[in-house]
Amino acid sequence: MTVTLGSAFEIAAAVRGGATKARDILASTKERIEATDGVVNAFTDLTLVRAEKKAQEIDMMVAAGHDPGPLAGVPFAVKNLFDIEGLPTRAGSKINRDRAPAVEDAVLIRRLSDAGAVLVGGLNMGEYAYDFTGENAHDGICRNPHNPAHMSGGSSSGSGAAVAAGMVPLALGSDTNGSIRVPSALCGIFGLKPTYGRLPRSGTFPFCDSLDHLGPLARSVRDLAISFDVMQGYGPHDAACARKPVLETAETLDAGANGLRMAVAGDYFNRGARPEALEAVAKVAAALSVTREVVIPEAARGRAAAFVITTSESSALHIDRLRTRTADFDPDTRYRFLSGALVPAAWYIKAQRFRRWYHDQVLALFKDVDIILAPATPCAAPQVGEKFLTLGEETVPLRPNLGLFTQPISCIGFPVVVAPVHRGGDLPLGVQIIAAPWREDLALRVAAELQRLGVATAPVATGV
Amino acid sequence: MAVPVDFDAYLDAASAIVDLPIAPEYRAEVLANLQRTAAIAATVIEFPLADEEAEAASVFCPGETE
Repeated sequence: MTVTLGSAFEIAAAVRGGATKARDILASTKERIEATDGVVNAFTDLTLVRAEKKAQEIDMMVAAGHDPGPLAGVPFAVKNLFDIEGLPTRAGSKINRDRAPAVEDAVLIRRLSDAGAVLVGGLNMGEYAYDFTGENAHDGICRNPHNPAHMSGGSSSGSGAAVAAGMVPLALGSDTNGSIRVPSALCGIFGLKPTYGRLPRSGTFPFCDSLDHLGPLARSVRDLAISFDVMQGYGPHDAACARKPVLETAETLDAGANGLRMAVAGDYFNRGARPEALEAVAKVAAALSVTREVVIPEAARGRAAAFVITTSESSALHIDRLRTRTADFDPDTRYRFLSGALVPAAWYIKAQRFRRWYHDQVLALFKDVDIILAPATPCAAPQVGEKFLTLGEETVPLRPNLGLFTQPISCIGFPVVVAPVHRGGDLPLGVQIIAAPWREDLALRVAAELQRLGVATAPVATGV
Repeated sequence: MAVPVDFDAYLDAASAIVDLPIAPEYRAEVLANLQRTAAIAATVIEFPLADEEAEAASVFCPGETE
């Protein structure tokens, strides 16, 4: 059990070295899920039969003197918008359960499996990924393992919660406006939203093609790096997937923050947050000796553009289902999808054009800095069911505001690592480490430095 | 927006033209969200961009400027 609660790379080292067997890791993973998921509700599907077969294969390879790969025997799970062979890809919905079972796994599942990882199941998520809370009318609320009265964050709710609860060391999620970064922050774990176009999305159910990213969540930066490295590479069935060479990030982690020019995002990113969210950024900045501030220009409009693009594209995607299965949508997504279908094209096109302009302005900032730090969310995990967020004198709707600081960045596809900051008995928060496009290595190096310093930590939650 | 918009009328016309009837029980929430969307979109619409300044590329490649 001790090894199971460790990092993916520790598990892989133990399995590859013959110190433990993949089957034993799987057995204790199953025990851990049984012990905690009744409360957390992270898993919607368990794939233990195929997991048992895969674990057996790994053990046989080790016994025969072969290397099963850098993730040998590592249990992982995926947000249920990833195709899993034999299961309908529900994407958090009731409607998609009528789909035919997927005939093969999503590309990223195949790449992790080829590296020796063992898929143990599909994870809860907000319906069609249109969510920041972790609440789902069909599959139930996914709860925060640090305190189940609180939200996990969404829409990769199960991915954040399963990793934080120590059920799996590694999970995959998707991020369109913050859906990897928000649950990473609220559940107190590390998460990577790579550059837009870096990882192929083939075999996943889309939300908004212009903004959808896939990425890993873990309790260690090294696990993010190792899994990211094996998932990279062009995928011909995703039109947005870039033809970029693989960036080896795991081998550069030890370079830390040495020589990097870093700044804290000011202005927009200093407002609309509770003091504790800004304190987390200040703590990280102090640990890295960052004193400089930069202003990301027009961040509020960047967020607005992401909002318009999301509502237009996602509603167009779902319009047939909106016509024929209206009552089967989650009440928390239904009105937003219906409204998005009525948005004029001129708004959408202007938002896309603004996005190009805004991208160029933010890219110019990176001539002088390598890393920008910003809060991930304006607050720690709110209580389940909360609808409003109080910020000083002001009360704002909670649901959209959880993405206040993540949306302006994913709008233009820059890579981000979320570093979790734990605060004694209080719920954790996250800090965004933002890098220039295609420089995930730099964001991961800074996160690794913070983990080494003990400023960013991701202990297994003890709330369940 | 210079002229006050009749969102009720817009909702009826737009939902008819895209063949997406909005049932009465959903109407209030949809209408409110449409108004919120219009307010958010207005901040993008009002931002001046020259014709040649920004393309709405269907494939978006971060790291490359025009």
